[in-house]
Amino acid sequence: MRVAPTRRDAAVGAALAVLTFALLAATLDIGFSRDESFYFSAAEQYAGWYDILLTDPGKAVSKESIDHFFAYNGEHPALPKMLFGASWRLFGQMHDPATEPWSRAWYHQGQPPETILGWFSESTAMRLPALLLASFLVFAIYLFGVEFLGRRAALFAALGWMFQPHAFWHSHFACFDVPVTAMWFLTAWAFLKSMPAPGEPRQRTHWKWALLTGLALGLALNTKHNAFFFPPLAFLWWVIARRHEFGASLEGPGLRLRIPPIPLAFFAMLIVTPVVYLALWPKLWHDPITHLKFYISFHAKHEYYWVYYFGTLFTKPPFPLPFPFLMSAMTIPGTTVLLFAAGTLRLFKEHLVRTGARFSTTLARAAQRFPVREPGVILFIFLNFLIPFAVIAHPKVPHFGGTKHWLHGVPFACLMAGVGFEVLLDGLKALADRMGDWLRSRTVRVAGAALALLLFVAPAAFDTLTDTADGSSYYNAFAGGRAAMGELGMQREFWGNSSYSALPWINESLPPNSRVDFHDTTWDAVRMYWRDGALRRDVVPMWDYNAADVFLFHWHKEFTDIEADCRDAYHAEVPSFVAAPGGVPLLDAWRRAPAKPTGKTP
Amino acid sequence: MTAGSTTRIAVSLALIAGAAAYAVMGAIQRSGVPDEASWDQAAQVVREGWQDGDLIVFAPAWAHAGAPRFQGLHADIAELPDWYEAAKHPRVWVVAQAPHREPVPPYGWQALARTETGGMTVHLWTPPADQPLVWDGLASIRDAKVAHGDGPARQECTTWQNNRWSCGAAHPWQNVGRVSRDIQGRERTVIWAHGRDNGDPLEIRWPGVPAGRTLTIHVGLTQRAIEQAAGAPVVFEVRVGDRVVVQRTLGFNEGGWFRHDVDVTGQGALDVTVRIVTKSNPFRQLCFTADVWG
Repeated sequence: MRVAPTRRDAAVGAALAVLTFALLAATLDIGFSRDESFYFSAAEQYAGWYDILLTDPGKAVSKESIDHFFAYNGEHPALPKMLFGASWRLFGQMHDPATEPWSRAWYHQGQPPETILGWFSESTAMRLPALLLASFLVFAIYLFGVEFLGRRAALFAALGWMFQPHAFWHSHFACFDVPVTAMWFLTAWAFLKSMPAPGEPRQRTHWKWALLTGLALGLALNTKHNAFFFPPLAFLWWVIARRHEFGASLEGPGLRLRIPPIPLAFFAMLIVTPVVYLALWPKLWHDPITHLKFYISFHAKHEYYWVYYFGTLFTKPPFPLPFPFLMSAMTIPGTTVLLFAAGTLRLFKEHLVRTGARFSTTLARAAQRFPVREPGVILFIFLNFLIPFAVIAHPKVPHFGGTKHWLHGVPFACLMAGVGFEVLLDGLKALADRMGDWLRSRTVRVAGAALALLLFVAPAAFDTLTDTADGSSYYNAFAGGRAAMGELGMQREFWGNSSYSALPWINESLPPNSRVDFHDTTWDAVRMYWRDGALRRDVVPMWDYNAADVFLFHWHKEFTDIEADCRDAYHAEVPSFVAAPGGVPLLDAWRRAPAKPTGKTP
Repeated sequence: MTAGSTTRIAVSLALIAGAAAYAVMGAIQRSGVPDEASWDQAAQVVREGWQDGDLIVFAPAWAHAGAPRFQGLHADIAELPDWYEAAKHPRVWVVAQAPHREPVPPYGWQALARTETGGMTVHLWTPPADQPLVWDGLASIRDAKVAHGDGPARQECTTWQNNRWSCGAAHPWQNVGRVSRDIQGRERTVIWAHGRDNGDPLEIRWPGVPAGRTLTIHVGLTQRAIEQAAGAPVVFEVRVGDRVVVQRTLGFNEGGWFRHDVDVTGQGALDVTVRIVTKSNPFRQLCFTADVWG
């Protein structure tokens, strides 16, 4: 049943969140992915709107102003980029064109704004809101777990989420995927808290949580379109969880329908959410229908990305249905996957036994040994895990190749892994009971539980905190480690960030004014590398290896023809630099005019 | 003690065993990744024994992290091995690491040397000595006679530019020449022979090919071709003299790198003709190789 989190629980959750933030902040040397670079540019452009808003609010809300500042990247809601932009303006250390005239080219419209606080590099300032949301998510997972599953499950769930190389890597970015995961989780949490437990009356607090559900869903929708799947999920859950309260009977002249109380949150979703959605997306202020049509059309007809999966390059539907499930099984640390499997089997067993308990006294006795759980909660967690995965699993939906598109389902998978941790501790307790009195003391049991936690968390933490710059290329040891990319023919980097690993080589090895084809790294990313001082400013970026001196080939299966053509054009046999965390090449740097063939040791 | 508690204990112990195994597996996998010194030593071994015509391959084939150390030497860095093409070299250096540190030579190959270099092993192999490469169509592409059309419509393709034959003005893709393309899982250096439209046959002919025992043909569509919803099946035909020795229709989206071995023992110098026909040619990026082995 529900256990209201205590202050101590809040303190534990906050400590985990602070630890998360510290770990993220300590590992910010991660290259800029393609999408992040686009959002850097959008954030910079949107941030210009704040100046108008502060000086002339009437002009700021005009259609002309909105169309001017928010024209770019309208296929995604503005809120995250507005936050990234605000953080950048407030905290970013800008370059001064007076002392660095060349820096003008690094900024939108050739003009950086003035530094306000200047606490962080520009990219870090952009990333700050996402880092905070990622940290808040850990806090929320822990408290959700405490309230609905118990403290031990909550602790593992929070740690299980914290220590996932892919999720940890994505948590750094000024992107939408971890923010929408946090917003979705907040929405789900508020929704569940807005629902009185079966048989309990509605109280004032349920109204508050319902309003928060509407607000949180509005924020989630303003973060990324994944959130559109939450309302149908909530409705589906309500129908299934309360199915026994639905009914129909013939009374008098007509049919009498019986339905359970409609969740207050549904009304909030209908009233509060649209208001929040509209209020926080300036592009909807003047011509909402036109822009929404564009928005929906963009995502409904999204182009298909290549997916390299078990040695096959998928380029069009049907995409492999197990993709999100198998990719997660291979890219979430194995110890968490083990506990997820144990937790899922345990919950499935509980469900079967509880269902059978209506018909069998034996099963009814067995059911009494299970933890008391609020009816519907496990189903709610399961649906929140399953539906994000299932949406991407559909063979006609673009699969994209990475793991971020169903990330908002993963915290719920971690909660199920938390149940697996309970299973582990229950078994250890039974073992201790069997082995004798000396193992029954509280100290021994706490120490045992801590050791068990360490056994399952330490490998995940190690995996997460090594090769942090290339988290999207991680595969767990059960899959073969990072070697799985080569051995099994799986997706490698995702996407365009690997050139970051070559920047020290570029800065140290290339002659002045070298022309570098950055391949899959965007112009906006290169601009930010310059602004952060990570790339020599004399390097000339381009996206044509024929005109370049160096080609930074990002290893994607679909691009290998380009690498072969470049190799021929450069008359090079081997790359001059290879970035290969775990021994698997993610980036080959090809350089013109290689040394003449020789068999002698130089 | 109940059966239930025994099950709970067993599940917990299994989970702990699984977690311990996971930690050990991870440690073993990490320890198998060669360090800088191992790569340096491996490069030193190869350079000291290098002879003209040698080839370097990596085992696993995708593991070319240390490739920059072999600058100036001939190496294959594709993610899958191609022992058929490797056999065209007199000797092959196999720079090996876990999980394939001790690869087994292909059938008929001989292991000449094996040197451990820290976390790696360098092997030196030779292909079967009794089957020398007599002729390589790709290397002889300049000698090929390329034409299209039949009967009165037949036209010789005499434009040789950028190592490619074109019919009329040099064409960016409707040509015959050497390229590297992703075919059946790896980059392959092949003869590009893009099908012509409306059933117009494309013909590549090598007269006077040296005699040997086996004519080996490989043919396939590129990865780009098979992933497109365009074009029509391609009929690929090889003749030796007037005799059709290979005929294969490559389906619309048919992936593969198909091998055909033709016994040409005792036939003397050969007249080898490759003919490619398709009714609709968008993305019909057919590629092939032709070799004669003694």
